[in-house]
Amino acid sequence: MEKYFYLVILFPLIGFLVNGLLGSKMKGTTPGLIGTVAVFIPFLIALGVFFNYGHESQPILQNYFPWINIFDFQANFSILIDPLSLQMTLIITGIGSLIHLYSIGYMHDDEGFARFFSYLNLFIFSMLLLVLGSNLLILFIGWEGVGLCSYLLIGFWYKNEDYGYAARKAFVMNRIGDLGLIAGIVLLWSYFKTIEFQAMAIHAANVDMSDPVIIIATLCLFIGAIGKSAQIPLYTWLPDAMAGPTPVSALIHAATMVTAGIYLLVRAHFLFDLAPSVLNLVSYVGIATSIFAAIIALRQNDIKKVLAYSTVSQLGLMFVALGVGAYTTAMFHVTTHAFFKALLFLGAGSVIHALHGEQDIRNMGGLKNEIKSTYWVFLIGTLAICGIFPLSGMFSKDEILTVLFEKSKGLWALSLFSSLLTAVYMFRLLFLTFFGTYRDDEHKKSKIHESPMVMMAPLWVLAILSVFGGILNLPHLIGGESYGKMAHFLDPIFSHSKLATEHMDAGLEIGLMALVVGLVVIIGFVLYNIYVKKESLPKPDMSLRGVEALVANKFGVDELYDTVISKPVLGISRFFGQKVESAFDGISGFFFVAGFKSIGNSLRKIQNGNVEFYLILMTGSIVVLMILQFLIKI
Amino acid sequence: MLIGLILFPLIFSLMIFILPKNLTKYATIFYSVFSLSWMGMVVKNISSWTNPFFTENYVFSSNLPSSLLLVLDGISLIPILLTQLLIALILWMLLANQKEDKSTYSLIALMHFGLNGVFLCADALGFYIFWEVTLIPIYFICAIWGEGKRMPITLKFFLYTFIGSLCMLVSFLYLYQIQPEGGNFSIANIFNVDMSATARFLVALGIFIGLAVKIPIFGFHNWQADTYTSAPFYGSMLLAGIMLKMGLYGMYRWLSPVFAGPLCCDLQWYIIILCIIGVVYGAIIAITQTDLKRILAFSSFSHVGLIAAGIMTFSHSGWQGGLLQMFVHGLNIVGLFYIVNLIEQKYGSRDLNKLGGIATQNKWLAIYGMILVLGTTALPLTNGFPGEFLLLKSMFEYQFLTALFAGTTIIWCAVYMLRLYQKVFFGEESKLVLSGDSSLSSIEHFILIIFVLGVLVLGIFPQLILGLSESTVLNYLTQK
Amino acid sequence: MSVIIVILLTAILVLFLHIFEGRQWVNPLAILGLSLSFIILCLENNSLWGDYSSMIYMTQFAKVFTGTAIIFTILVFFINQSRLKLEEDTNNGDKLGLVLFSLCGAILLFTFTNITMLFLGIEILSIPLYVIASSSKHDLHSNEAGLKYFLMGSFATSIILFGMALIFGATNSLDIMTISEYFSQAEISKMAALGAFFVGIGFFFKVAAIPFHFWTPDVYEGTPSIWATYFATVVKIASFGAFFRLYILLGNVDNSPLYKVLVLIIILTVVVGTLTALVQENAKRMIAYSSIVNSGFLLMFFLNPSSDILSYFGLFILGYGLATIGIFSAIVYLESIGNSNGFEGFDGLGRSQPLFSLGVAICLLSLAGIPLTVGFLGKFYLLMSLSFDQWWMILLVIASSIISIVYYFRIFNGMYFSNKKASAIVAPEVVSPYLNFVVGFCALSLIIIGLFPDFYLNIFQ
Repeated sequence: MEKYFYLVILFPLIGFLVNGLLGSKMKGTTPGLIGTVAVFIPFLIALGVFFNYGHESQPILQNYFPWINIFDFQANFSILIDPLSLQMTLIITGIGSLIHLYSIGYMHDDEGFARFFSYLNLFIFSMLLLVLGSNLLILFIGWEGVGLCSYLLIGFWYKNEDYGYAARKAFVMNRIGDLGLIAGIVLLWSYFKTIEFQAMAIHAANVDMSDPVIIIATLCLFIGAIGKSAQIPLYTWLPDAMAGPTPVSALIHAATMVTAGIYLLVRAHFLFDLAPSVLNLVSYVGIATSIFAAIIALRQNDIKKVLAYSTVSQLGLMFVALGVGAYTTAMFHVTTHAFFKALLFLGAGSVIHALHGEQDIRNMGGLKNEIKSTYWVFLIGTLAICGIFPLSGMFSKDEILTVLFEKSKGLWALSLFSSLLTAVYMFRLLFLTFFGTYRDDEHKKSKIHESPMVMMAPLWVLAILSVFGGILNLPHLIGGESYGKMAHFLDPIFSHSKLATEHMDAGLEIGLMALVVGLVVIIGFVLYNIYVKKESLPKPDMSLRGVEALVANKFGVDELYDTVISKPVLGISRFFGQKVESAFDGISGFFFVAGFKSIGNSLRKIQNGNVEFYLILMTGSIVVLMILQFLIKI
Repeated sequence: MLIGLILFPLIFSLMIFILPKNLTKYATIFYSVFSLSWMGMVVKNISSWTNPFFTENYVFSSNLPSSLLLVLDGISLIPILLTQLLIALILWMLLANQKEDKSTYSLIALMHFGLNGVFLCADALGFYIFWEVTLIPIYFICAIWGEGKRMPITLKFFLYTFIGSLCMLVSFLYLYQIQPEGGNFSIANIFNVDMSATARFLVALGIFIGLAVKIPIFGFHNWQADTYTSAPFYGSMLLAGIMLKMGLYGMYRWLSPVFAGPLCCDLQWYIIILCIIGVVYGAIIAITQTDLKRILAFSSFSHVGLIAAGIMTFSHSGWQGGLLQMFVHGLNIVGLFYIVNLIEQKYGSRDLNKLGGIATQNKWLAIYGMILVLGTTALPLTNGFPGEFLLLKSMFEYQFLTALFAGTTIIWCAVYMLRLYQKVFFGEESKLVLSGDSSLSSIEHFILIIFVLGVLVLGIFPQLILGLSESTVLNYLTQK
Repeated sequence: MSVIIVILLTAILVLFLHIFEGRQWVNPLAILGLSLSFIILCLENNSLWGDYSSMIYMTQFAKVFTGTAIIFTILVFFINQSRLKLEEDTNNGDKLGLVLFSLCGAILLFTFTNITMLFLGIEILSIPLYVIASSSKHDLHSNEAGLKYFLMGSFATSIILFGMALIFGATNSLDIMTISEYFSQAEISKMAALGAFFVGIGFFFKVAAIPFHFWTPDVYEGTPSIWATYFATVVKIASFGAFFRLYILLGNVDNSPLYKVLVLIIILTVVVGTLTALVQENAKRMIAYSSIVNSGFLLMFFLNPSSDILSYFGLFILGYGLATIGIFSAIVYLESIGNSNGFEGFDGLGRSQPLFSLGVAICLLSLAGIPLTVGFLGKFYLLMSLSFDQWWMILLVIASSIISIVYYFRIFNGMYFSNKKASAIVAPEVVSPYLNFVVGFCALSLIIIGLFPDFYLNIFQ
């Protein structure tokens, strides 16, 4: 089975090529089917490998060809199959195929149907390279590849200039991070003379703690992760990225691409372990982002924007976990988050689909009677993300909080605050969308329809996963003997890790769990009271004042970036392009030529055609020359 | 063997005048295929990859301390390959455009002659002569078929390059004069001299100025954007695609040996700083330009700055990356110029504000354009990446913070390239685009596919190019 | 010696033929005579020292210069032939005769071994020129040119004569070897030094070095273009041939009574000449200034004379002469079709006469010193001859070459890149085959010798 693992990467690529080159000539949903199959087969292969992969199995390194191979740099095109990459592969291909399936329904009447699937396949291809690459450079291929696909997909409806702008913003923001990553790769190469993960891990065992090179290198890697995983200060692209079709938001901006940053940190954990100061920074950035994004989410009225900020916030939580060295925990949250966030996004997509493109929750309401199925899955998603027992979100989030409680009470309190905020904005979203009465005109209401089966089936699968996802990594307390399956599976990866986690007291754990769940439930009731009972509505944007306006306006960060970065750059660009360049023009030959010409013109006047004058001048010159030659000694 | 690379273009350039007009097309096709296959034969006959592959010496004059010494090694092989490929492609483009002027073909062949000479000649005087020879056809091409204020612009270009190359000539003359009796201009002798640190600095400076104008490096670049913009498309291609590589190649062959001894000041560092300033400066200007050709000009300016900086680190990865990137940059920029030319031909403008929505109208053009744009922005698995990575690597190893500054090029490049792409291909169709002709002829497809394949194949197998020069570069650097 | 005799005989024949109703044969006869003399020159052995009463001495150097001068004259006559097709000229024989006489003077200047011969040479060279300059009888400019040339020329001649008298007074000899021996002493008398100085000044005038150049632009402009060609080439080569020989003979370089003057004059000539050429609006005047600048370059060869320099000097002057003749043929053609001498006269020539203008273009490139032409090699050897202690001279060459691009390329631009359509040229007439031949000959020689200089340089050995 492992022998054919290259097919996992190859299939999406083939799907991309087939759909991209021939797709426009195909009829109906064929491109969609091709695209879906091209991801589903890799899922099956990965599943097969996964079941073969025992606890004692060694990581498999498959070397295809030397990519860059010169005297002082080598990078092979090779993939590494180990628990971590396998898990990611399963998430990507599994959720990926569900989203592909869903897209067949969602995008069925779009003129770029085939193009959409080719992009999606390319995305899967890149993402797989990212997680499977055995060295940093192959990872980087995927890293930039997903950036490209996200650019293509956000700007999928390319006729709209705003979408195009959002797409470019995403790409450029990612690129800022990529620069950090490249710097990190080079530093690591010059330090280790290899960029293979396995080899680096072995070398890293002999490196002193807080080695300056390692600190800078990990910092660079972290900058890369910030860009890709939308952390402060590079998060602004993610909410804008909602311009793309909803399945894209689900796939890229919830389930997979944004977790690349987490993946990178986990993959390179042996380096981060050596740099505790960077790890601290990771958790600070994470917690700041988490709370900041959650607050913004409180006042968003676009259904997808809320989810987008929620994603940023959840990613922040994962970084907090990484920051305290709880890599498995972070990976667990990545997994469950992939389930319920994909579910929420696709559910939101279903809502938008039902309402023919309406995204503003102020124009929704009472949809639970109209689109029941969607309501149910959305409800499950909401409960999961809020962390209601026994849904998957509760387990993963609880694990994070537990770890944090041990490591740092302050971080724990802030994270708790952040997850409570999650509950607030998610319940607000749920109630405003599905409860109460429909707030737009009746004409539109009559057109509301439930999504087709091809969309609902993936939703239900995801809903089931969101409910039972927790089983993957039950706490010892609940799971008994079969606790921490994922942790065990991932364990070989972290065998070098110097920061292994330990079990905490059972009573305390139950207490914490109960506290979180209890608070979330209370929040749920309060919000129910506000939004359903009292039917209060978010105010129109115009009437907002003070802090509220600031929050609704996302703290004005976009504007801030605009004034601090974009505008000055454009200004400098014009200044260089016009002023400096023309200054160069001035100094260049032309200036000289013009200057010479004016000298020449005055010299020309001597040549006045008057012979007497000439003769006098010549005689004068002879005298001067005589003096020079015979009287002056030089 | 090598002399063929120089002689055939010259013969063709004269022949085409004599041939009847209706044979021009066939003669051109024959010529392009022939020169490609001759190159193929040269490569095939390389028996060992330790340098140099071939050396040929033709003595022209006993009165000149110089001869036609042709050397092919890894460093010259790559630009030579690029030249053969691009010249053939440019000729095909002209045929596809049904350009009938014989003198164009003749001048391009003359250019070919000069370029091959520059890359092959290992004699300083011969190198200089070929260097100047390339200037004449390009001057004619820009001045006859250019647009806008072509006269003053072309003159500016000519003056800049001429000033530069005379500085270089003086350096060579000095190197010759200080040799003991019986010296000559061959590369083996000319750098084999003892100089004071000051003299060495001045010699290096002279050679550098000559190269810097051609590349161009910041401070010597003022001619570039204007010339690229006003030149006809094949002129811009020759300038950006190949002529610019003359300067970069010169850095390997003619500048680096001067740095073997001590210099009175840290010229290497100053050059790198200039290059890096150019990288960022060019990129930033490109962001607000609206003329497609100008954007490409500044983009090219920015990209070659990085190549030059990488070469100046005198590190293995810098040199290898530089060679790879030379090839790749030539391919990509010519491809992009071709796309700009097609756009201008079909839609009548290259102003960003007048274009838009070509993707709807002309899907294939948009796809080709996208791939080339991605190649230029150095996305992994496109040809731009390996070279740029190696160059950045060499920079990072040379000086971390400078490299970080230079590295912002990957961000800027994304900004202006995607803006360009957005404005041209995406968005609603503009009036011009709606009324334009949306078809691509099969020969246009063919040419574009070659570029696209170049982008992808070299992206996945950069080793195809890196392998050619590996041993030469290794030898060169270890000897120093 | 037989060369001079043949040329003289030709001149006399030409004059007679002109009288006896054989006008159409005058020009061919002159060309034939010159060709004959050229062949004789090639076959003749170098004369021995002491032949011809130690008055003239045909060295290899003199032979090459004589040959070059003869060929230039032949080319000038070919240009003249093209004119005869278009207009009836009743005085053609006189002019040709005068030119041939002046050529004899030029040859004396290459071969003299006695300063009386030098003086005779200068006079034989110059006096016919004064007449020729004003040969366009009804053209005021031409008359003015002749008069100016005469006035200033005699001024210069008198200065040379004065110098010679002083030298004779100091050395008590007219023989060049004796004088040379005297000048190679470590200490020379003030009188001799002053003599050498005045002779030098006279020659600075003859070679049109600034500030003794005033006659050049006016005379070139006023003289009919065909004869201006002769002035710009044969006269220039003759003056330089004599001056160079004299300069080498008159002393070891550093001690030379002319060294400081020479340096100053070179700087003046190159700087002022280049800058003034830049602002000319008339092609003929531009060429005049270009010839002044080239004089400056040629004078630079004087700074470090050696046996090799002789041949490089010859190469430079050959390149200059061929290119100038080529450009003058274009001017003659444009005048013949009624275009002005301004740069705009060249507009569209590239399109109406592609091959002809290709030749002219090559001549221009050579003058500008672009490789693969003799002009480049000349400049290259010039730079090689300068040592790096004289770096400011090198700088001067470089700077001047750069600026010269601007004014040479103005003709270029007119020919090829003007927006005017070819039809805008007045009467796009066919270029006469003679002009085509001249331009073709010049362009091809420039390229061939530019590629294979040995063929020329080896003659000097």
